[in-house]
Amino acid sequence: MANIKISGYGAVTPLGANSKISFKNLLMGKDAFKQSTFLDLSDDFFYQKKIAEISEHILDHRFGDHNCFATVLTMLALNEAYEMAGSPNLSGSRVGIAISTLESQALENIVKAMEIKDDQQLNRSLHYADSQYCVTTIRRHTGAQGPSIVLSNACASGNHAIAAGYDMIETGEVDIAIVGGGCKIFQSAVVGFHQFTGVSGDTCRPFDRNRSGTMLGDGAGILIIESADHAKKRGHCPRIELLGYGVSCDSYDMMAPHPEGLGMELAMRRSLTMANISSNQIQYINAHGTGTTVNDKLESISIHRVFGEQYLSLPISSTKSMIGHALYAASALEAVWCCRVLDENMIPPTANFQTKDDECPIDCVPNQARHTTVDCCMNNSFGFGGTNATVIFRKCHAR
Amino acid sequence: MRDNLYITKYALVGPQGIWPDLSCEASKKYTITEADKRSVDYDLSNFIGSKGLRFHDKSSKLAMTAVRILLDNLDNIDRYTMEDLSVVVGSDGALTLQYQVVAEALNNPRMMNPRLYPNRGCNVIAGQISLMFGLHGESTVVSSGYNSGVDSLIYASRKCLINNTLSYVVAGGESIGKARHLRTSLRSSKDGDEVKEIEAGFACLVENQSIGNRTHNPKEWNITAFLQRSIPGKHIETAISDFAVDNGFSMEEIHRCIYAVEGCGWIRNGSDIKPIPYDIYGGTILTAFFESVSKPSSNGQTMRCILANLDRHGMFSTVLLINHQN
Repeated sequence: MANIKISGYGAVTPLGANSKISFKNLLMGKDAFKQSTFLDLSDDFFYQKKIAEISEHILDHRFGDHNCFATVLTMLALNEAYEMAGSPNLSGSRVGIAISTLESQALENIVKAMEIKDDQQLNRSLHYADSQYCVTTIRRHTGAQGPSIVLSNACASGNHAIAAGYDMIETGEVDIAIVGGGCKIFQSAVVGFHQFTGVSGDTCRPFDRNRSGTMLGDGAGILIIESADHAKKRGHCPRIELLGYGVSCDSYDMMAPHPEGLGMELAMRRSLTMANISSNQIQYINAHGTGTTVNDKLESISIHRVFGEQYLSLPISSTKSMIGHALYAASALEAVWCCRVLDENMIPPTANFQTKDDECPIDCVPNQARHTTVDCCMNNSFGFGGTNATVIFRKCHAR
Repeated sequence: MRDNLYITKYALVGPQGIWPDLSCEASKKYTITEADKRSVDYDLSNFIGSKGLRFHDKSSKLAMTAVRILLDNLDNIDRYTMEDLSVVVGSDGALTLQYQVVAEALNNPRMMNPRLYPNRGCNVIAGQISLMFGLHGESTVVSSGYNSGVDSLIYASRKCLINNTLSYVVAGGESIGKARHLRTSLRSSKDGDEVKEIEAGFACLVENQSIGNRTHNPKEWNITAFLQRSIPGKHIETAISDFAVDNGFSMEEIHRCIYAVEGCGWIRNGSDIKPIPYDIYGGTILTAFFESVSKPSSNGQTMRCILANLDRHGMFSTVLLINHQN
């Protein structure tokens, strides 16, 4: 099995323009939900007007404008990851890209342009709707020429992208891969989440008895992963390794998770098998933890099945409680938090937690960050279409 | 060079019918795309039923039908459990319904049907296939426009190389409609304008030879090598030639080459080059390949085939396939 390191990571969230500041605010339990200024949620159909939005001030015009917001976020996260990785040479054919970033609002602009017969807007929007838009931008700025892939796996896309980058290194095609993704929340997602009442009218309270849904939020998370040999050759000493991943499909329903959490369990078990570790070596889980009644219950049940009674004392938190659900970028962001946990030995809390739920009897690190040594952790993500992906990280010295 | 990865089965769904069609002689049905018909107007419910498909785009149904035919023709399915079988779809999404969902969301959010919402995501086709056939392996979508088909084959190949207990169904389906036409209008060249857009679906099974101690059937196609690389400014034929040489073959030793620049494709047999007369967006190259190798041939010779796609951004995706008893 490959020896793959996390050479650098970066994130942009409503709580900060980099992973350090964002994580500091996560540890303080701050949430980022505010009245949306980008989307028109004035209709009373929208019972939740708040989104964890990243303001336009962050836009860096080297990378694009508001038409490609998700790509700009991805590039900003990549910049941070690049610096942390010791500014490696990212040009050439030995550098791969696996991301989940899409400019989803472009599709909405296409529909609007067709309705008002605005060919200019239509052509511009088609350009941004190209699934390769972000990959092409990354290539232009880095000179990367190796394999690239855009993974579309709904809310599990980020972890799938990390897995795809792992594969590129493991097969020997590349030495370094840029993996992760970014998302700017878009109107049709907000409508959809309201239609199937997936969004809370209150706030996001994962694992709480009174949880009533998720909140949506912008963000981007990028990891630079690298073969151990390549990192060593260029004199870089990564602190974290990517041990393995597990993927699965529920095959139960396009929207509802399997009623026994089968797919979630399979993803976690497969990740442990690939990582070649036992469940008791995991010391923290960043949960998918959407704050919906069904997800949190089934995630708790499936964790119980995988971890046995250890699950009662295993810290499991949901950062979505503070920065919302970044859809196809969510698990990429949460992978960055896993790396921060390993680097800082601090676990972010599950915010907004009030009432314990007997159906979720986990230690969700309620409201207060926790200082504890974490050598190995797991990142869960589960998406529409029943697609699931789990990734495991470990401190290098903890071998 | 890899000698352990194989495409063991494949299936096609096109305007002229399906392949393989066990109800008649396959040799009479190999041409499923070459006639004037553009759309699949026979009843797909004969293959996949109609229950639960109300919110499925036609592109989903085409891909599902291809997978149904593929799975029905696996003569040794007991070497898998459904937990092991994974799906990767090369697709930018169920485009027609994707636009419908977005239009409903913008214009009349109260009336948007929540059951239609999954079509907003690009991964809908893979999810629907896994759901229909009870597959608990990975269910994923690779979105790369015209390169999607070849890229999904490469994606599956990587997975099966890393974990030799895995097997992947690689599938795709494209219906025709305004939404697809909008995507394909992004082409950097107008060369493909006269190529007709048609509907089709394809599926194939990629597996590692070591699965279930399987004996390799010489009629199967060995996935010998693959490459994804950005080659801005390079001509596709030069890139193909370089790829062949890098893998130890001169172009004279490559018997068939099926390649496309965006929607404009060609099949080269020896020195004979013919245009691919249709455009199936991400599915063109794999469909053309499966269609060409489904034609009866009994020369018993080793055959080497290169599949390649170049997109408008200069991304080149290619696969070398070898069959030792064509």
